[in-house]
Amino acid sequence: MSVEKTNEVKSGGNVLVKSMGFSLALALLFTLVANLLPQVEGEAPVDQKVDLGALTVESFVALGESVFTGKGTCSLCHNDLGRAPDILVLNMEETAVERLKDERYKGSATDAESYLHESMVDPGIYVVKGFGKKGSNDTISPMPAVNKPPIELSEIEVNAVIAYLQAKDGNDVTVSLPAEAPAVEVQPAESAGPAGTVEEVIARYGCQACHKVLGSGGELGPDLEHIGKRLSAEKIRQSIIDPNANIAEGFPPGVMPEDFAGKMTVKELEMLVVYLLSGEKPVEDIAGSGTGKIIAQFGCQACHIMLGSGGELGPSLEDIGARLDADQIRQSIVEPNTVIAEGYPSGVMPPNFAEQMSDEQLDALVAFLSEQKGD
Amino acid sequence: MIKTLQIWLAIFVIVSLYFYGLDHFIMSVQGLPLNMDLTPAQ
Amino acid sequence: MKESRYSSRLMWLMLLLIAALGFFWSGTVTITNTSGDWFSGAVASVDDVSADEMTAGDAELKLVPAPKPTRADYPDIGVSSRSIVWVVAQMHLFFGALVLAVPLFVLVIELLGMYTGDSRYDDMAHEFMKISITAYSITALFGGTLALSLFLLYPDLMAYLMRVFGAQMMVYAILFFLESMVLYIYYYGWDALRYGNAKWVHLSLGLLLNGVGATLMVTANSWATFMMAPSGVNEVGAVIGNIWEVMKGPLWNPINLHRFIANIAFGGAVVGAYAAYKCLAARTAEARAHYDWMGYTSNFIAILAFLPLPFAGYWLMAEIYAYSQQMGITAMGGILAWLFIIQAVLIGTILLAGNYYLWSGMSRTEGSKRYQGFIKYIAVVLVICFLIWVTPHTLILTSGEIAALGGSNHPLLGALGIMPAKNIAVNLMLIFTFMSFQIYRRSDKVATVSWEKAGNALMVAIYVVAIVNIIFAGVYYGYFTNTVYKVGSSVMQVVSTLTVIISGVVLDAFLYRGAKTLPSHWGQVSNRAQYALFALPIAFTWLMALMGYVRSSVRTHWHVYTVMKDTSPDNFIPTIGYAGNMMTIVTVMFVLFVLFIFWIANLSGTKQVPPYAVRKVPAAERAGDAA
Repeated sequence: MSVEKTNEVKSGGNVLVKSMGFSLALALLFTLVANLLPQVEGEAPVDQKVDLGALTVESFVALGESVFTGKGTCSLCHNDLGRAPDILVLNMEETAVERLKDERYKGSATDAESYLHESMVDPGIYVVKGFGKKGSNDTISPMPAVNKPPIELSEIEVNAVIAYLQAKDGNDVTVSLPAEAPAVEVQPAESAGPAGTVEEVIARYGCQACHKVLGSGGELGPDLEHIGKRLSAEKIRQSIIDPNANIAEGFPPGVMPEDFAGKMTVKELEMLVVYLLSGEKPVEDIAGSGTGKIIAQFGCQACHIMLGSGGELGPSLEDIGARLDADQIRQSIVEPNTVIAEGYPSGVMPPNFAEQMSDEQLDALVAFLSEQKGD
Repeated sequence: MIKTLQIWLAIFVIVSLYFYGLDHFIMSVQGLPLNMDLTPAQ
Repeated sequence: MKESRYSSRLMWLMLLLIAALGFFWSGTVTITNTSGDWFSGAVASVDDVSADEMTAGDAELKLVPAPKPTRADYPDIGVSSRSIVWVVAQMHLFFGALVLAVPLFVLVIELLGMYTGDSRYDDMAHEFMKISITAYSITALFGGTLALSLFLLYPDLMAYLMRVFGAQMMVYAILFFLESMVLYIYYYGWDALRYGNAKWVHLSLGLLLNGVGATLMVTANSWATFMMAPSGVNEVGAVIGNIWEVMKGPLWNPINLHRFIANIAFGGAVVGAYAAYKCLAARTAEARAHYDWMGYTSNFIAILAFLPLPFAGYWLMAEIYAYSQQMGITAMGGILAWLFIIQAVLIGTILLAGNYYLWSGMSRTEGSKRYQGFIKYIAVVLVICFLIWVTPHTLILTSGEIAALGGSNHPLLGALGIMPAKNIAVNLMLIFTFMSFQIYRRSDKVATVSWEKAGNALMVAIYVVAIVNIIFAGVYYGYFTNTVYKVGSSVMQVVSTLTVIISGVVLDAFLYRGAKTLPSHWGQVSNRAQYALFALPIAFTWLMALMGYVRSSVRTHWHVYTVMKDTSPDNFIPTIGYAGNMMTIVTVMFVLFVLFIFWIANLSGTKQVPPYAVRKVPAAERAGDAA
């Protein structure tokens, strides 16, 4: 056996070092290749605030173009590679009119604008010849509905794309600009945390797209400037949560989205109800203090009159300091159902406000309420 | 010699025909029929 | 001498085993299908109940949508959560692949050993299992760590997945127990159940082990494919189907097949490195011959399993396109398209290393001189094809330009995915690799059948016509017709390649029946050839990390595509350089752990020489080391 020892005996000790060195060098070579290629990060769609207040047709078209190449991912397929009709080359206004005349067209669109809209949110209604799903004989479209996940364009973005498609070939932009509103999210602002003021709430949910509120807005829905005179707090709340339960006269049902309540935090909803009911500028401006913010944040005025306005579901707090001492006030917030003011039902006030408040906020609120002696 | 050549030719013809048929078959399975000269049938 | 004949049997047996397992799967699948309802954690079916009977409140109670966590809902432990899960999940997958693959070919080798009565096969199979058994504990440890880190770092996602999969997770846990038990009995019972009828018991255990292992894998695969292409849930993620409908998404079977084949290739490559290391470190010609043979067998397994892998990948990609064109294009034509350049480099490395090893191995046989002349032509074709494949045809775009175009969606990059030139190159590389393989296997044989000439002519004709067909399809349909034909013709190319491989194997099996074999000498191979066996697992490991990353990244900013958004700080696609660094980190970590496993495997065979014996028999120490 020992006779057959070959020169490997000498290299034996080095085998580990050599093989490891070789393996490491190879791995590093691959790393090098990876680092030589273009270094691009693919950001997830980010909040892209668009100031609709300053929106012009040009900027709306520009928004449409950025959606077309960016968030909408339209250009992945609509390009010159033949995956889908090359929208950038076609004059979409003319194309749309032609397709409406096609006997295969079964949709409900009447003009180019509505055709383009329909082709985006329901692409299967009309499949362009040769671009249907393989084997479906052009009856099924491979295109996803752009207002559904994973693309999830908002109505404003869809309209912006239409504006872009009309404008790129010099056609008139027929799609109407979204009504003036402070801002629109290209991405739902899920990560932004609850809104702090009424203005933020109104801006976030785009109320002004349809309603006149805070001095401006659209006319699709009823004017909300003096809604408090016509409806109670409960009715207002109901109209937000379940908008089709009661429809204001002269307005069509089914227009207002039903999912606002699902998206809003309770605080936001109450803040909005308080504001719409009182018709007053947000409490913050009146109180001008930290307490005002707390009251607004937790929506106390949805049920209680304080700072000169509020609901009547719960007792008025304008003179609470005269009736209860600080400890009792504190208890009424922390455990609202242990002692119920006469004439009011129990179990209405949420028992979890204290959990949501910081200690400082609770202290400040108690101190403020203790001073309210009804003067 | 002649015989070897014949064998080779015959085999080449058979294999070519097989692949020709294969091309037609595969494309038609995918709903993409071909003409006799292997150009796309429209 | 006998080995090459047996290796053809090995190949047939392997195919048989794959078919058997496929049968086993379809069996389990049917069982799950018919009885899916009873262990589903979800609502049976909403459609059964008419809307009138069901109040709105009931519907909401039962149909819980996927959670919508905000960024603040993701725990921040100061290190990127994604990086942690990335590393741990990848390590778990590496070892899981190894542990599932090794028993598969161990069973085949064991069967071969029993069939031939050659105890070397049995010993080699046992030695392979020794590696697998340590790897198994490491798999479990990383699996546990992965579960913990996922629950810690992505609680909402995990809560959702738990709700969707429900009791299936417990089935997985039970299977895991079963796998452990069978594995330990299989390994430790090896010598106890070695001969006669007991061997059949042992082989049955091996089959059971593989059956349980494969079921484990497809169960876990369903989680990954659910996240890519959710099924059995409605558009907000509420569960509306039974567990079977949840599991059987459009991508499940393509992933199952792809991972199954890739695991074998990966496992073969890793044990090949073990053999190469032992071969280089061998102190006797006998040990060197043994490990040379073991390395050859491992390489044989790895390359054979690797050849059909691109076709499984093709099916997967086609299903991804069918599920969502957008997802497919994101992978092949969007920001991730550049990763396929690295993929080309890696696969090129694998093919070149595999070929090089085969060519070097030809020095073992005297009959190889007949084929030596072919090698340089094969090498030239491989290198040219490799260069065509890695040439990015769209380098006009700088990263700045891409960023200016909105990053992920430049239309030009899409050309990479269906590049006709690259399709030609890839298919030719596979065909020529198979050619190396075939002439290697022919090199120690002389055919004795009467129709030898006609058989050879047939083989040559198939090669020539297939190559012409591939080039014709690539050039004609690729450049002169529309996309639909372009994509359709790539199937034609793929089938041509498969035809060559299958007819080559079948033809040689008949052509060399009863052939005269020429002497061959194991161990008579250059040391450099052994380094090719190190290159294979490194490239495989890196490739697995890369393709796993692509598979996971096509979801972009979604945890569960279209159903649950990823709003964590890591919801962006990192740069290729960053991803590449991560892949090197996991590869190096894997190599270190594998080294540990090899060391443990050696340790168990190392016996300390009793102190009283040291002076008397110094040679015993050396003999012990060599063994």
